Amino acid sequence: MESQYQTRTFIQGDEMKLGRLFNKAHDWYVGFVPRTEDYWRWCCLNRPDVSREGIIIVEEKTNREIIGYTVVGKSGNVWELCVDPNVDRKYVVSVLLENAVSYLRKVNADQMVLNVPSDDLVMQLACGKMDFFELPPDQMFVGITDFEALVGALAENVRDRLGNFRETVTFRLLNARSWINPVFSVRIDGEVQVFENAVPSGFSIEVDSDVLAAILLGNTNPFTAVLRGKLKVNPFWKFRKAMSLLNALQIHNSWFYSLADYG
Amino acid sequence: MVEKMYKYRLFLPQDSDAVRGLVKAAFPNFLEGDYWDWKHFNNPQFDPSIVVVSEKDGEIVGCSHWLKGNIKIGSDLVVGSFLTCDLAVKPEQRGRGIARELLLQRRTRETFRSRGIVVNYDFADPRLAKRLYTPLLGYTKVGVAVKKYAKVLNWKRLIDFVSNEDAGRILLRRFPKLRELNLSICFKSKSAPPLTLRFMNGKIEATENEPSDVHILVEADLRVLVSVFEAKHVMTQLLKAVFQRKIKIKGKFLKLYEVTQNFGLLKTVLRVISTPEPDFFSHAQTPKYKVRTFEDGDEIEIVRLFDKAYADYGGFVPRDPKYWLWCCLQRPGVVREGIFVVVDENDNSVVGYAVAGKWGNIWELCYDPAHDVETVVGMLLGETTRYLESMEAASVSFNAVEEDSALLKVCNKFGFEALISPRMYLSILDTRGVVALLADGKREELIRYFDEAILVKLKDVPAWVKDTLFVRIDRNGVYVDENVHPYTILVKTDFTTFSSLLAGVLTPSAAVAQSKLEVEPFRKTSTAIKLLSYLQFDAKWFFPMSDYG
Amino acid sequence: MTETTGSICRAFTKKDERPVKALVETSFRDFLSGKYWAWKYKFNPNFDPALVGVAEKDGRVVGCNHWLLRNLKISNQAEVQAILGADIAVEPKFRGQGIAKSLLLYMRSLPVMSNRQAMISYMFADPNLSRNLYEPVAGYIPAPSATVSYVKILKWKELEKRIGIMNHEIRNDAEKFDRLPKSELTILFRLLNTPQLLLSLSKKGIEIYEAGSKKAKVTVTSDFTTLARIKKSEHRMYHLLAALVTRNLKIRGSLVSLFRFYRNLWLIEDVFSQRLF
Repeated sequence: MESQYQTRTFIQGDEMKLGRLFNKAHDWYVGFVPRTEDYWRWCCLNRPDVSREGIIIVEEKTNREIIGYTVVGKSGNVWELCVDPNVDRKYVVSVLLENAVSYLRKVNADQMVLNVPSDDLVMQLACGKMDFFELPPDQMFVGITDFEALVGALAENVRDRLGNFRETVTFRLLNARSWINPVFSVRIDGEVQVFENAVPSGFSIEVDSDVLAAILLGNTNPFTAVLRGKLKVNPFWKFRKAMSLLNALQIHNSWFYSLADYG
Repeated sequence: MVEKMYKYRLFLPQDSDAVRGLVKAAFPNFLEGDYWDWKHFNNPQFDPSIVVVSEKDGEIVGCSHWLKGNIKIGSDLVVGSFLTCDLAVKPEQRGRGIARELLLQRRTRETFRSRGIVVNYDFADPRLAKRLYTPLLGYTKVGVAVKKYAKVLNWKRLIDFVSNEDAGRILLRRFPKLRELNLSICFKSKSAPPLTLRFMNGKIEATENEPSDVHILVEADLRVLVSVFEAKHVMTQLLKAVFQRKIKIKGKFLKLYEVTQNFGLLKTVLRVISTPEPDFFSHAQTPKYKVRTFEDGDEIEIVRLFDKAYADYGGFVPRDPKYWLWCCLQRPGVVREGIFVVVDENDNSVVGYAVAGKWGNIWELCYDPAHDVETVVGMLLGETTRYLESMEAASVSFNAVEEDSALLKVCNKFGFEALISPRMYLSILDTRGVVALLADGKREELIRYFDEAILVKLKDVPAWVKDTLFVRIDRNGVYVDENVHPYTILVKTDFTTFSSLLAGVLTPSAAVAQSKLEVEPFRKTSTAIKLLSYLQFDAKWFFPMSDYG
Repeated sequence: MTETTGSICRAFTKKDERPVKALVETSFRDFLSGKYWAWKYKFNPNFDPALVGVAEKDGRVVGCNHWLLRNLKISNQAEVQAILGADIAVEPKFRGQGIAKSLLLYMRSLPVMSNRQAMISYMFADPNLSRNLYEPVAGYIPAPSATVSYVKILKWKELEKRIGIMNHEIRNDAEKFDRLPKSELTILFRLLNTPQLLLSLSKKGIEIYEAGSKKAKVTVTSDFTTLARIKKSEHRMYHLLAALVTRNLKIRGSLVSLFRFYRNLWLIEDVFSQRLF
């Protein structure tokens, strides 16, 4: 295994490959900023406590393909750590962590902190093996500023899953804050069209804006919202269609964010 | 005429120094606060039209930043987003709704739409989110798939802290028992090198080793230790962890007892690792208080001190040097020798003052709540009483805030009694103006929860007040005038009751219960009560004698 | 200018300065000896003479009312323009004729009101006066106060003044004079945080002596808060007994002295009935 890979530090030109690797490694997750070359350069390379020696890369010896990297700041924060999901991650993760620890000892940092996906057992085992201890994770809070754009985008994204769903739905948001449009409609019939006001529709969903946000972000089950009286479907016999729509629109992916995205 | 004390505007390049300083002071534990330039000003995505500042008398007292970007929210779905970050307000200006106002600036459909923003997000303290972000902005906590891991590589930070002379002085002052303490504790954990703390001869020593001669040996996972020392009830959590064998403690019983007697000290020292007190060193130098009489130029600091001390109250004339000079220094019966000023000699800052009139009134007495109230107020009361005795005054009296229990204690010690409550009365001359002002302060909540047109009909109104008031609340905003318009709710009451409601001395539900307020239609009573509860003065009133004497 | 029965309310002019000053001095002599008008108004950088009203009767100034326009902070974030209603005074022999009411109403007819320059007016008043005059006439209500006054008595000066007045009244009132004790009764008051007070009640009237100069037949030990509570209450005897039972008030002396003390309680109540500071 060892002979297959080699370790080096950052060199000019790596940005794009590292950004692509980041996106690939976190493909299943949501909640992070998709890396572009420019963004990665600003958020990692140009970060105040990051030097090139703190960007540790593992690549294949033969074709120099980057399969893992970590960005370690002198403050002790591991801003990013990713490994190509298609390789033997156990070895690469260990190498990256060990190199990170060595680097931090060299720069006299007193601690090392990193975020790891909670369903990534390989990373967690590696951390455990290296005697890391767990801290409470930082909390992310999300507010929806444009409901019709989000619903439209989510509907477009799951169009295939919606199958035979052919309806125009009007959303009526209760207790909507001043920057939120309280009434909008979405037509789904092969294509997705969003209207900024109410149009003749098959049914309407009347719901508190905070509750709809919780549903779309995957925090609340739409059916639970109905049971609690926070969501109404009119006419009521369209209830099943409404539920299937909302379930399809829900974001089911796990939310993961590296320290680099908010530090 | 209304004047907002704080102005809110967009960031300008000339604000850079002030904003940088504000962020550095607010977040010193993150990269030592030195990251504003990289994160914002030098960020290729920096957009000054989405950075707002709050200003008071030309000074920047708060700031809030949005970072524009994209965020992935679905397998193949990326949307435009704002990251809310680096919301900072000067400590002495906190608690006045500035953060709230900053978060609401630029928050319009137009702002979001024109930039393609679909979501807004933040990484916040859950308590702050619960109190502010969620109710105000509708933020939802997302179910994260994140675990945070840490490893201690060395104890340098702790070792540096305990060997710092200023820290040692502060700890000795806070924990006098440290002087007689003779105790050594070794902490062993997998996630960190061993740490030994020795408390001896009033000093603390920290080393990275595991000597054999320690009094107490503590073995635990660092995660458990951190969670115990960050808990609200540390002792309870510690005992629980010991009982569950998550923490193992070995040592002599007497020494264990000493640990419990010095728990506060241990907590303070160990908290350096996880959540150090941000302003631990702000009073690194023990304040050296000195009292003197008034000197020209003091009025500037005095006015600032007054503003700071009564930030949370209404009911007085906001001070400026000109007003203060007239109402205090130039007052009959007041001479410079009767104005006492307490300064902290370390930086010559004014931390308290009292203006004594020779007939016995202390027109103003004010102290900086961040300082030792007993010493500062004690000095002021001592000097003013001595002065007034020499003036043969029959008594000494001054006004203070009712709920200031620290001041009450000092006053009792010096023989003052809280005898009377001066009576202030107010009369609303412009109901439309007052209601519009109150509605403006609660605009977001009103727009969110109400879509009503309320007509208020007042009886027994004085001749200079109109007997009708109309308030319309809808998505477009809040509109107030004194004409009759079609309404959805009619509120009938008398002028005195309505004034009392606005002044916050009567609750709307009490007014209904006492039949002083009627709502039509009846089913809208709870809506009317809820709405009226938003339209009340929300600050208690304090009136120094100098404002009316 | 407004008119009520016999008097006219009009704007203040320069020639009204002297009579207005004198009126304020006599009406408020307890406060800074009344000598503050010049500082508070004439030399006040924010003074506007158009906001002073006078009541005139038969060419004489018999009443005045002053307004001071200023900023008032009403909450954490907002200041408004407000009017401080201050120094409303009516010559004693013209009181009870509705002049104060006229002055209040006159001020409210000024342009500052119609121009909506001020949103609120406020003032400081005796609760009874407020209830009987300011509230019904001008719509005043109690402000949301969080203010308390702390007091420490250094000398019994005010009490001495009061006693002087009382002795004068007693001499001119045969009934009261007859009720005075035939033989001297000395009472020592030991109130927490105040100088000790030794009173002597006799046919000479009430006299104050230095504590220790005479032997006290009765000693009263208490504190100002308890005394203030008893003084303020409508059922004084009840509160007095309650204070005795709860030992907030202790009265010591021989049985005879205590009985005499009780007989002369009317006199002691009178002594302490007015302002003590």
